[in-house]
Amino acid sequence: MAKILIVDDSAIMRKNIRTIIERGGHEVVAEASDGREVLTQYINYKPDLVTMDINMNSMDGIDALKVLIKTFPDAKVVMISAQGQKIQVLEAIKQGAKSYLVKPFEPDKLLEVVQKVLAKP
Amino acid sequence: MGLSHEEQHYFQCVAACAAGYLDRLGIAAEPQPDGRFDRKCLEDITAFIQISGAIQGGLLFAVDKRLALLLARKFILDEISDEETERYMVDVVAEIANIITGNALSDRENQDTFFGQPLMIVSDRAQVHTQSVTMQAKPFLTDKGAFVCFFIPSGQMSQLANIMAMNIAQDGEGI
Repeated sequence: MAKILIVDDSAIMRKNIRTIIERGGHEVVAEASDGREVLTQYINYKPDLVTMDINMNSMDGIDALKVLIKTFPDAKVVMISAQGQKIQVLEAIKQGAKSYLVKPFEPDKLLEVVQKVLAKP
Repeated sequence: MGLSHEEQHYFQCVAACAAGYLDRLGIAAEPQPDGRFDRKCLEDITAFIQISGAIQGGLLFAVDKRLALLLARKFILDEISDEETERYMVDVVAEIANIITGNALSDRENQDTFFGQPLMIVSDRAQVHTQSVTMQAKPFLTDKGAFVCFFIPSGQMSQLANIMAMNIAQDGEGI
């Protein structure tokens, strides 16, 4: 059972992702609705994995990812976005994301990606 | 003033993504004749999304309330009460609008077009009219009412006030 931090400015997306994660047997230890909260939540809850939306208001997911990886280079982050442009995916991976998921996604797909990333060293 | 080739292609992608997304949720959306307007009544719940960069303008997704309630039930993975469905439906329409807008950009090679957070308009008496350009509309019909995608092009900075004006119709009359 892994500890997961969900980051998304949409309350209903956080709700759905929480449902999927918990049905998959993992624990959601915290949620954040803003990229600026990510580092604090990561320090407080020490999750095994973070799911992070890219399009957020105050600080987008890519900037939040950069901040997180700078302090925690081994953090496992799965980026989630409505845009699946190759250039955006490559940028996220370049900044340290372990995987990228395009909305809409099937619940099983999210769990598959989470399992694969958790299994990585 | 019509749409450029690029804007036309993007709007077609938006409409296709919208129909495709509803189909994915098991909702058959029958396309209706599209058209160009300078004034149009909106459905009950509308998401406005500003587009900027290589494509400039405003996208609107207007949804009949009955359809919005159905979308909420289908979108939320947990079983939810009628009260919760009513509470979530605006956020669900906002998120679906976000997904459709983003998906429609996926075939662009460069990351040169950006979109803002949805602004939600909840009114069964709202109209939209554009200042100096005509907007494009692609309506769809479902068992639970209509769903309409609009695109309003803007040749300059896409400020909301330059793109459209909202008027609340009095007793069904236009303004």
